[in-house]
Amino acid sequence: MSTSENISDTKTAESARKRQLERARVDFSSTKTQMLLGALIMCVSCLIAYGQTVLVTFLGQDLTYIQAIADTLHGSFDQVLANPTSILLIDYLLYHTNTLGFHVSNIFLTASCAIVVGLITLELTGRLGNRNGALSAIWAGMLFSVYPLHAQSVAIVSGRIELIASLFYLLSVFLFLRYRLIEEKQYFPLSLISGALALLLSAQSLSLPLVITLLALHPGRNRFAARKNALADAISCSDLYWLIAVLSFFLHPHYLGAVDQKTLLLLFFPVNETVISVSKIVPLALVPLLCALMVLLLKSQIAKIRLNQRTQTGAISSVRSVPTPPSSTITALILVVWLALTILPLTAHHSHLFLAAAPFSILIAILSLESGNTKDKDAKLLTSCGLVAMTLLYLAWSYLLAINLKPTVEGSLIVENFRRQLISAATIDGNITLTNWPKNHQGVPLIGAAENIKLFLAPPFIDRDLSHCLKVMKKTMPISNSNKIYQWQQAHGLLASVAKADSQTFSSSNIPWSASSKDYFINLLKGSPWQLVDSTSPGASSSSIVSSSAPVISFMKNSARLWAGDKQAILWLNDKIDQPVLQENRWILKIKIADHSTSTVDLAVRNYLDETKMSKLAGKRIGANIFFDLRDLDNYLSNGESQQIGIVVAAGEVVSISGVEFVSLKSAGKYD
Amino acid sequence: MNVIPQISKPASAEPIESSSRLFTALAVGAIVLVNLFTFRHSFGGYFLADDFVHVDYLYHAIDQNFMPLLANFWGNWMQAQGTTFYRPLISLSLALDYLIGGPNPLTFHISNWLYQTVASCLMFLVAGQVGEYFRPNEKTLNRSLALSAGVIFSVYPLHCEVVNWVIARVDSIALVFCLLSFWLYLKSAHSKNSLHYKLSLFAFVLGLMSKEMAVTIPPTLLLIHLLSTATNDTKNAKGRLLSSLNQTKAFWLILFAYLLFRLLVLGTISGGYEGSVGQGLSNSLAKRWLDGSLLRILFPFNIDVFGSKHSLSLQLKVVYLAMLVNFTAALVLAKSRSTAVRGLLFAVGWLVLSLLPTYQVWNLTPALQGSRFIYYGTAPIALIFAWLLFPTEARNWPVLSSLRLAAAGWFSIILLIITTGNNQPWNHAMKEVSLFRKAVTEQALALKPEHKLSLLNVPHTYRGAHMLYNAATMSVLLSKPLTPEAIYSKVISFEPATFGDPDLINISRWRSRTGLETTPCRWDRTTMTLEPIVFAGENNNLKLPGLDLSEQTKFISPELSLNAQAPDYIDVLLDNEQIKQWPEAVITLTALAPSSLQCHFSLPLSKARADGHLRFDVSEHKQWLALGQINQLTLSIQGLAQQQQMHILGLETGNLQGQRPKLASDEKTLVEEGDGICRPRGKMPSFNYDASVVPGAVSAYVEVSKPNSWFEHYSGSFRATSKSPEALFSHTLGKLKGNGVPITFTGVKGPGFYQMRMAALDQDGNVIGYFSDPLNFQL
Repeated sequence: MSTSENISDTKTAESARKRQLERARVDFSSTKTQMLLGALIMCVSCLIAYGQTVLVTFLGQDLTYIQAIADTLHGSFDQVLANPTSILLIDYLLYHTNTLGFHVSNIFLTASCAIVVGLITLELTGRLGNRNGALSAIWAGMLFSVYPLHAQSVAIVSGRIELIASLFYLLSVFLFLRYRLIEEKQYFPLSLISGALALLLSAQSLSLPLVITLLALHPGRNRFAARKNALADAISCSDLYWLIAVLSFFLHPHYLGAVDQKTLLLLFFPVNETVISVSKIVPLALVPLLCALMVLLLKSQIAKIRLNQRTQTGAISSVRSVPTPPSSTITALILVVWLALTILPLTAHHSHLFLAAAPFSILIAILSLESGNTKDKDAKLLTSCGLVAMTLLYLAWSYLLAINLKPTVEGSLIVENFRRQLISAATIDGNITLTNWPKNHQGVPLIGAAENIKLFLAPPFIDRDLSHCLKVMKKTMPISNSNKIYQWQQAHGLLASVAKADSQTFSSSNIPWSASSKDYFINLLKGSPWQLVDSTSPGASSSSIVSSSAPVISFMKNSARLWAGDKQAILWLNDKIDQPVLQENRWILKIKIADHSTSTVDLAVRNYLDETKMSKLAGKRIGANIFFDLRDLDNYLSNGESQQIGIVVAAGEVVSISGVEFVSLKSAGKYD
Repeated sequence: MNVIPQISKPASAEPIESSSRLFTALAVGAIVLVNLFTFRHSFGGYFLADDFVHVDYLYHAIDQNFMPLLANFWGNWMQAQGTTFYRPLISLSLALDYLIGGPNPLTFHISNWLYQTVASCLMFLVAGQVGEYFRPNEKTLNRSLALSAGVIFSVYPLHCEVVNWVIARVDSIALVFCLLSFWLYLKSAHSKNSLHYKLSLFAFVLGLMSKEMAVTIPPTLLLIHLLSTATNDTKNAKGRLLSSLNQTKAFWLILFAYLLFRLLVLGTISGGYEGSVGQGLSNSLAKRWLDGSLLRILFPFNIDVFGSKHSLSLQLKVVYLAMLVNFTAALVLAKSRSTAVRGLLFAVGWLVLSLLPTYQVWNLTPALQGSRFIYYGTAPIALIFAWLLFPTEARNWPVLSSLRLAAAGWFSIILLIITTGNNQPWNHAMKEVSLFRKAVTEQALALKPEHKLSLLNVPHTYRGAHMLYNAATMSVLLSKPLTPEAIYSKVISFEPATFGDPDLINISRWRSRTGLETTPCRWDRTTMTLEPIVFAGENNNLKLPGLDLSEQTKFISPELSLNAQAPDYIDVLLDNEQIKQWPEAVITLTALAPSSLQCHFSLPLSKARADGHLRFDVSEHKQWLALGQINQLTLSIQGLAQQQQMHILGLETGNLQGQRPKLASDEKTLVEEGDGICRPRGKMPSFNYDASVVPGAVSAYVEVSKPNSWFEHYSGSFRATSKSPEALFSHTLGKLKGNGVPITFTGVKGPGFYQMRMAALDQDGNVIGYFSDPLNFQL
C-alpha cells in the first residue's frame, strides 16, 4: 500500500469523525443513555404502581414515630434515641402531619432502590461480556419496582426504615462492585459508609459482609483473567465490612430465625392470603417464572448445539485464544446465595421480603435476558423470548401488587373514618370508654397498640389535647367506671355508643340437660332438624324409632345425648346475647359432659340476625368440663351485633351433655 | 544424553476418570441427602411389634456371653419356635446397635436408615455398572441412568416399613449384600480383577446369612450373562447357557452348599412360617397374589392415608405413559435396538427372580402392610424405570435429554410425596407405643402394691403399621430394659399369645382374674390416654319389646343400666320368614356407655340360629367390655329395599352359664401367667374341668389344637358349637368332672403354644350348648 493512499485514508476518517462530533444527538446504543432512560421509566413505574397509596393515612406504628418526632422538636430526646424515627424528621419538618408528602418520599425512595438494583445488574452483566446493553439492568429495576410484597413497606409510612436500610445496603453493594471493577479508590469508603448506615438501621443488613465477600469472589475482575488466591483477595477487600457487621451485631442481637416453608412459598406467590387465596393465583404467578425457565432451557440447548457444531468444525481451537467470559452460572449462584441470606432472618423480623426482591429480580433478569456467548442470531431469538417472559412477569407482578395494596388503602379509609368519629365523640361526650377499635384489616395493621389511639386525640394530630378523656379497654375485662361506652362496629363502620346491657339470664344455665327439662328443649328445637327422644320413659320403644339421617337428642335421667348422624350437626341455643363485650358473664362457657368421655364438641357463634356468618371455637377440656373462652373470638365480642351460640357435634360423634352454662371469670379462675 | 521415552497416556483417560469420580461422589452425596430428607422423622421413632422380641432376645443373649447369637450360625434363627429361618447376621447387626446405644431406639433407627442409604448408593452403582455392561460407550446416558435409579430407589414409597420398623432391616441388610455382590461381580467382569470377584463371593455369602432372598443372586448373574451382547462367540442357546454357567459356577456352588447346610441345620430347604400362620398363608396364596397387590407396586398408596382414589395416581399414570412413549420412540428412532431391549429384559427378569422367593409369604395389603417383601424387588423396579427413561442416547435432540431428566425429577418428587404420606402411619404408631408405655408405667406405679392393672384395647396396628400384637411383645415393652422398673408383673393383659384377632377376649379368664384388686383400664386411641373402665349397672337379663325398622330409621333404646361384664350375648329375635326373605340384610347393633363411648357389631341375617335368634356374642369382644356400663343400645338395618320394613320381635340379653363346661389349670402344676398362657411348674402339669354344670351332659369332650394353631385362628370366635376339624387330639372323657388331670394324657409333645377346650356331649355324642372358653398352655 502506498503512503499517499494511507494519508488520504486517515484524512477521510478524521473528517468523518469531526462530522459525527458536530451533530448533537442522543446515542441510544450507549449504556449510560439507556440506563438514564431506564431510571426515568423506573420512576414512572413506581409512581403508577404506588400512586394510589399517597392518600393513605398513618397506620400501625406511624403514630408513635410521628409523636416521637414531635416530642423531639419540643425538646424531649428520650424517644428519638429509642426509635429509628429520625429518618422521618425531614418529612415532618416539610409536611407536618400531611401524609401525602411522606408517601411521595417513600415512592421516590423505592424508585431509588430500583435504580440501584438496575445499576448492580449492570455491573454484574458487564462482567459477563455481553450485557445486551442495559436491557437486563432496566428489567431488573422494573421488576424490583413492582414486586408485590413491597406493598406494606411502601404504603405504610413507617416502612421507611426498611426502604432506607435497603437503599443503603444496595448502594453499598453497587459502590463496592464499582470499586472492584475499575479500582477507583473513592468508591470504597463510600461503600463502607453506606454499609455502616444500612447495618445501623436494620438487622437484615447483617448479610452484607457475606454478600460482599461472595461478590469479591466473582471472576469478572481484570478482564476475566484467572486470579491466583482469589479467596484471600476477596477476604482482604471485604474485611472491613465484616468488622462493622460484628460491631453492629451488638445492636441487633436477635438476628437469625428459621425459614419456614411459608416464607419460601411467599417468595414465589407474593400475595396477601387474606385477600385472595394462593391457589387462585398459582397460574398467574407461575406462568412468567415458567417462561423464564423455558428461556433458560432453550439457552442451554442452543449452547449445547453450538458447542457440538464447533467441535465438529474444529473451530474450538480458534475460539480458545480469545478469553472467554465467565459463565453466568457463577453470577446466578452468587445471587441465589444472596437471596437465601436475605430471607433467612425473616421470621425473627416482620419484614416483607423487601430486600430479598433485589437479588430475586436481578437473578430473573440475568437468567432470562443475558444471552451468554452464543451467535448473533441465537442471541436475538433468546432476547425476544426473554423480553416476552419479562413483560408477562412485570404485568403479573403489577397486578398482584395492586391486589396487595388494596387492604392498605381500604384500611386507611377505615382508620380515617374511625378517627373522625372518635374526635367528634370525644368532643361531644367528654369522658368516653372505648371497648374496641380497628386493629387490622386483611393482614394490614391499622392501630396496633391501645396507646396509639390516645395519640389521635392529641397534638400534633389535632390542635387541642383530648386524650385525657379517653379510656381504652386494653384487654377484655370488666368495666367499672361511669364513662360513656363506645364500641367500634366494623361491619357498619360506625363508632357507636352502647348502653351497658341489662344482665339477662342465660336460659340454659338454670336447667339441667336431662329428661326433666323436656319442655325447654321442645321449645328450643322448633323448626330445627333435631329429633327428640325421651329415653327415660319405659316401654316407649315405638317412639324411639328415629330417622337415621337427622341428628337426635335423646334424654336420659342425668344427661342429654346428642347424636350427630352422618353430617356435622349444630344445636343453636335460643338466647340472644347483646353486647357481649360488656357482659363479663358471657365470656366463658362451660359445657359439662359425661365422665371419662373422650368425645368432644366445638362451639359455634353467629350473629343473631345475620345467620350466615358463623365462626367456630374449640374448647379446653378440664375433667368432665369443656371450657370455651369466647374472648378469643373477636367476631363475638366486638362486631356490635347480638350474638347466638350453638353446640357443634362432629359427624358420627355421640356426646352426652349434662349442663351448659356461662361461668364468671372468677369461677373460671382455675381454668385460666 | 539419555532420552527417556515418555509413554503417552491416552489423553482423555485421566480427566474422565477423575470427573467420573467427582460425579460419583456428588451423586452419592445427593442420594444420602435425599434419604436423610425422606426418612428424617424415623430417627425419633420407637420399637414396634416384633422388635420387642429381638430387644428381649438381645437383652438375654448379652447376659449369656453372646452364646445365643453365635448359635444362630449353626441353628434356627433365635432358636425360635414357629419359624425356621437362617439369618445370623441380622441378630449380629441388632446386637451391634444394642452394644453401642443400649435399648435406645435411636441407634437402631440410625442403622436402619444407614442400611437403606447404603442400599440406595449401591443401587446407583449397580445401575451404572449394568448400563456400562450393556452399552459401554454411552457415558452420559449411563450416568443419568444410574443417578435416576439411585434416586428413584431412595424415595420409593414401599420402603417405609423397612426403614421405620427396626426388624424389617432383614430386607435392607440382605439387599445391601446382594447389591454389593452384584456390583463387585460386574466390576470384576469389567476389569478382570480377581480381588473384586472374591469380594463379590464373600458379599454373596454374607447375603445368604442375612435373608433367603440372596439365593436370587446366581440366577441374576446367569441372566445378565445370557442377555449380554459381548459373548458372541457362542451363538447357539445351549453353548451360551453353558458358558454363562461356567462363569458363575462359584456362585452356584456356594448356593448349593448353603441349601445343603440349611437342610442339615434347619431340617428344611424352604423354611418360613409354621403353625396356623403358615397354613393361613398357603391357603390364601392365590388370593394374596391376585387381589391387586401387584398393581400396588406401581401405585404404592397407603389406602388409609391417601384414600382409595388420589389425584397423584393420575400424575403417576401420566409419568408411566410418558416413560413408555419415550421408550417406544427411542426404539423406533434408534439405529441399534438390541441393547435397549436387552437391558430392559434383564431388569424385568431380575424383578421376576426377586419376586419368586416371596411366593409363600407375599402379602401386600391395601395399607401396604408387608411392603418389606417387595423391598428387594424395588431395586429392579428402579432399574426398569430408569431404563425406560434413558434407553438410548438422543444426540440430535438435546431437548429430549433435558425432558427425560425433568421427567425423572418429576417422578421422584411424586414418589417422595407418596413416601412422606406412607411414612406418617409409622411415625404415629411409634409415637403411640411410646406414649402407651409411658401411660401404663405411670398408672401401674401409682397402684397399691397388691393391685394389678387389667388392660384392654392395647394398640394393635395403625394404618398398616404394626404396634403391639400380642402379649409377648407387650411384656417386653413393660419390662427391663425398656422400662426401668419392670412393671409387667403388675399388668394383666388379654392380648393373643402369638397372633390373632386383637378384639377377642376370653371372658371366663377376665371374670376370674378381675376382682376388687384390679384396676381395669382401656387405651383410648383418639386421645392417646389410659382411661379407667367403670363397671356399673345391673346384672339382670334384659328384654326389649318388638319394633319395626327400615333402612331410613334406627331404633334408640330407652335408658338402660347394664353391666358390660354380665351378659354373654344379645339376641335379636327375628321371624324366620323374614330371614328367608332378606338373608343378605345386615343388622348393626351399637352399644353406648354413659360416657357416650360406643361399639358396633354387625351380622347378616343369614347368620341367625334356627330358632330365629340373631346372636351377637358381645362378651368375647374387648370393645364391648371396655364400655363398662351400657346405658343405651341402638339397632339399624342395611340391605332392605326402599319402603320395606322389618319386624323385630324383640331384643334380649343372656348368659351362657350352664351352657358350657368349666375348664381351668390347677394353678399348682400348671400356672396361668399375666399373658393368659399357662406354663408347667412341675413334671405333671394338670388341669381341672367340670362338665356337670351343663344339664343333660353325659360325657365330656376335649380337644387340643395343633401347636401354634389355635381354634379361634380358624373360626374367629371362641363360641364354638361343633367339633373342630383342625384339632390335633380329641377325646371323650367318661367322667363329667375331674381334678388334676395331667395334660400329658393328650399325647401333646414338643414345644409350642397349645390350646385346649371342652364341650359337654349328649347321649348321641353331639355337643350340648357351647365349647368352654379355652385353656392355653405353652410347653
